[in-house]
Amino acid sequence: MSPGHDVEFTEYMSARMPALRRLARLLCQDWYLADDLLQATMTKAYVHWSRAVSADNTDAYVRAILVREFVQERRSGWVRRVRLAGRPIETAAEVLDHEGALDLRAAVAALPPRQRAVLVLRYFCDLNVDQAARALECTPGTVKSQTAKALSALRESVGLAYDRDRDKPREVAESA
Amino acid sequence: MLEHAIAELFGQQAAEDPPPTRASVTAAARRGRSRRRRRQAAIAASPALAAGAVLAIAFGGIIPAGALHPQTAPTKPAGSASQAPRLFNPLRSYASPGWLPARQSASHFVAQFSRLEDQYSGLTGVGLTFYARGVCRLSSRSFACGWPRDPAAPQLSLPRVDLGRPIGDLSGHAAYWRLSSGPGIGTLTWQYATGGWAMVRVPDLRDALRMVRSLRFGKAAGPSAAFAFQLTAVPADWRVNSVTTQVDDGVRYASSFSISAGLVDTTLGLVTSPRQVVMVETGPEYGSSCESYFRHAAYRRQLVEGNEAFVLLRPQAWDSGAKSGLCTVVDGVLASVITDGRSGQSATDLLAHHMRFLGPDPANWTTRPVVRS
Repeated sequence: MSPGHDVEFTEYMSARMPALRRLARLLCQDWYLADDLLQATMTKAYVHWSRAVSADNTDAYVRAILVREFVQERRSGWVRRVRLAGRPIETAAEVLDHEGALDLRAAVAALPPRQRAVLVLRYFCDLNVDQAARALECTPGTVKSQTAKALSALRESVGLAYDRDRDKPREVAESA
Repeated sequence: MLEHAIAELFGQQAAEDPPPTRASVTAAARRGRSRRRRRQAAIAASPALAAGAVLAIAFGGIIPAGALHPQTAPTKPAGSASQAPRLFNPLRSYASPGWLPARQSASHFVAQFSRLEDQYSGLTGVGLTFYARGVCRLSSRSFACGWPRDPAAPQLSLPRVDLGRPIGDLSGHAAYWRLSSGPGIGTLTWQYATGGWAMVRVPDLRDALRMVRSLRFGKAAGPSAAFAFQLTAVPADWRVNSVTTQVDDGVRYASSFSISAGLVDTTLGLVTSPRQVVMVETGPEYGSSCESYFRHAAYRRQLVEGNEAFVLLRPQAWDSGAKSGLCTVVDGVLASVITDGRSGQSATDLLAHHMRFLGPDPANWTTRPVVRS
């Protein structure tokens, strides 16, 4: 990589790191694992930096690296996982929340990686099906089916608190 | 709706106060550079390289490996009358600045046949790069550095860099200054000797000029990197083609190096991509625990000539071009050796018969990591 690109990479990553880290945290549902994922993503982005800067949308390119790295890593469980030194981060205390949201949080964390990635891309990054498919390198049909499976699994897990016909979580007391 | 609740949950999680991060852009760039070198070596070893070799024979341009002698460093600063080296010797210091901006210190060096790069701790992105003669090509106000006729080149990035505005002569050649699009860093580009371009990256032009004028060449550039062990009695056509150096506690030591074998051609510009056969990582940067170094890798423990070695069970998963690999710690110094199939030697063979460890004291380390038979 040319020195100019090195500088460009450093400037870009320094600026985008917080946002990428939050996205990684949503995918991993854990800050500690998110840092590992972020480190692996930045390393990969460095290797492919020429392509990243010449892409139509560098942010989307780097985000795709992060999401694919997440799915691939969880799928392979193999050596290319980056593990950073240092003790585990003490995570911030969970925000007090109503019971339904806590159930939902646990249910999202329990989803398979690919399904969780689809949800994050669609409901946090606001990507449409085609954009999410490009990010995950799969077909739009796969995105739709993974979304449906994820939503179905979540409904099953938190069925008492959520109902597909309502706009808001149903109060536990009300449903009892 | 459930979708709404999911979006709300993600929004809440994203708004949490994050704990301090362990991720580092600098570390990513460092590791990325290392991975990039391996990728380039892998590309060079592809069939495209074979095609290039055939072409080279047709042009009569192949230089037998034994005839390749990277130019030794000049003993005085290069001037307009001197020619830049056609090849650098990655094992020898070529040039170093006698002056650095405040809060800067030497931290990281990469030396290859075609390019020498120094990075400095302190300000992000501050560094110095020398290219061998013929590596960079100028066109109007921009230039690109790489080997134009390397068959692997189309797969590698050779971005064009804007030279910026001319600022007069340095060393008898035109020099240029460009402020990057990002904040705080400019690039001074000049010919340090005929045919050889160099770049220094600092925030301020005056600092850049001061750095350039303070450059020391040859022996005055400082000591060569020290290696914690030596590979002895290796094939005659093995040579070190890339060295990455760190400075730790005042000692400049090699943290990784790669060895190539076979013919090297300078006329077609294949010198940057000879066949890489062995990749070595060693030193404090990697800690002193092979369990940690090979964490998440599948390995078996094996005693090799009295040394405990962690031998990779699936070396290709560690590095796509790898045929064998191991990690061992001798006298507190970690060494990882990855070999390519064409090296004709497995990593365990190298450990058993060719690796000579020089102990934990850097005073006993060597500047000759490879001794050929």
